[in-house]
Amino acid sequence: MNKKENSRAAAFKFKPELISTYLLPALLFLSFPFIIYAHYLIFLKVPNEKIMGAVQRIFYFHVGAATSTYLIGGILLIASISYLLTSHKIFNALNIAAAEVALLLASITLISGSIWGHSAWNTWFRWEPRLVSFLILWFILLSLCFFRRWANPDKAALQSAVLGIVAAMMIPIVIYSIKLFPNLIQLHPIVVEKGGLRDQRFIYALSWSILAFAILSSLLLSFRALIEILEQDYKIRDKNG
Amino acid sequence: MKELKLLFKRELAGGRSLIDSGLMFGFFASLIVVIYSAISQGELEPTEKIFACINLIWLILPLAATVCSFKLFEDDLASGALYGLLEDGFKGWQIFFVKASLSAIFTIIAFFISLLGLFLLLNLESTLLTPLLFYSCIVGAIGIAVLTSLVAPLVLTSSPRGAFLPMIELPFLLPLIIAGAEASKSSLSNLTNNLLMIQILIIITIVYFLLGIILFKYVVNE
Repeated sequence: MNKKENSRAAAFKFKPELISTYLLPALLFLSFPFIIYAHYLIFLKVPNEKIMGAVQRIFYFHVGAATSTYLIGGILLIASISYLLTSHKIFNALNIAAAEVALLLASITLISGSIWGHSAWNTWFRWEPRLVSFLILWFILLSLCFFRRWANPDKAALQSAVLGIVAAMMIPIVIYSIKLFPNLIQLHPIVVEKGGLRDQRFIYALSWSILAFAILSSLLLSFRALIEILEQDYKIRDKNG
Repeated sequence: MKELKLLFKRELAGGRSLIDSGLMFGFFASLIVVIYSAISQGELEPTEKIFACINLIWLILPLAATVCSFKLFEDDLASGALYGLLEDGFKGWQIFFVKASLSAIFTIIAFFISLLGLFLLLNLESTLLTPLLFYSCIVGAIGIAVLTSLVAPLVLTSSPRGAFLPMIELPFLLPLIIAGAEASKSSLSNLTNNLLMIQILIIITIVYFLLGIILFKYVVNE
C-alpha cells in the first residue's frame, strides 16, 4: 500500500474486535433458534404438497440458499467497492469471506436443485436460462476463490476487489433470467409472483427458512472474515519479527 | 485525445506483440476452417452444420482474444513499461482503451474471416448475411476484447501466470459467448426473439466496458 492508501485506511475507523466481541456472539445466539424454528416449520408444520409430496420440502432449503447467495453476492460488491475507496483490511477480509461463503451457498443451491429437479421433473439438469446462468455464477465464484489463492500477495487484495465487482455483475443476470426469456424454454416457475404459494403456511415457512439462511450465512461470513483478519495480522507480526 | 494518439502510435511502433497477436489469430482462424471442413463432410442436417460452426466460432475466438490480450500486456508488464506510462502522466483508462481497441480490431477481423469461411465452405446463401449477424459479431468481439483486456493483467501479475489464464477468464466470458452464439444463430434462422440476445449482448458489453474504464487503474496499481 502507498502513503495515500495508508492514510485513507487510517481515516476509516473500524475495530476488528467488534466482530469477535459483539457481532459473532449475537449472530450465534440468533442463528440457533431461527434454524431450529425453520426446521420445525418445514418438517412438522407445513403439509405435503399435493403433486410432489414430501420431496417438495427441499424447496425451502433450495430457495433459502439461493436468496442468501444473492445477499452475500451483494455484500461482495459492497466490500469490493469499499476496499477500492478506503483500502481498509476489513473490506479485504469481507471480500474473501463473501466469495467463499457465496460459493458454498451456490453449491448448496445447485445440489438441492438437482435433487428436487430429479424428483419433480425427472432430470438432474437442463440447459435453461436460470440453471445455466446460476451455473456460470458458480464457476465465476470458483474462479474468484482460485484467483485469491494464487494471486501475487502484494496485489491480491486490490485485484480481488476488481474481480469481485466484475463477478457481482452476474447476479442481476441470474435474477432476471426468468423474466428475460420466453416461458417456452423455462423450467423454473415464477412461483411467488404468480401466486403459486396459495397456502399461508407455505409462505410462512419459506419466509422463516430464508431468514434462517440469511442469519447463518452472515454468521459464516463474520467467522471467515475474522479468521482472515487474524491471519493477516499474524503475517504482519511474523514479517516484522 | 492527444494521449490516446500517442499510445496508439506507441503500440503500432512496438510491432512485435502485434505481429504475434496477428499470427495467433491466423492460427485460430485456420483451425476453425479445418474443423469447418470436417463438419461439412459429416452427415448432419444443413441447419445443424451451420449451428455447429457458429458454436465453434464463438468458442475458439474468445480463447484467441484471451491469448491476444495476454500478448499485448505481457511485454509491457514484464519490462515495467506500463508503470512507466502511468508515471509519465497517462491515465489507466487511456491505456485500457488503446489495448482493448487493438484486441477488438483483431477479434472483429478474425470473426469476419471465420464467417466468410463458413459461408464459402458450406455454400450458404448470401441472403443469410443479415445486419443482425454482423452486429452480433461486432458487439460480441468488442465485449470479449474489453473483458480479456481487463482480466489479462490481473492474471499476468499472479504466480502461475499463463497456465491459469483461461481458467480465470472463461467463466467471466461465458455470458458473452452464450449470448453471442445465440444471437448469431437466431439471426441465421430468423427466430422471432432474435433481438433479445443481441440486446443482452449489448448490455453486457457496455457494463464490462464501463467497468474496464473505471477499474483498470486499480488493476495496474503498483
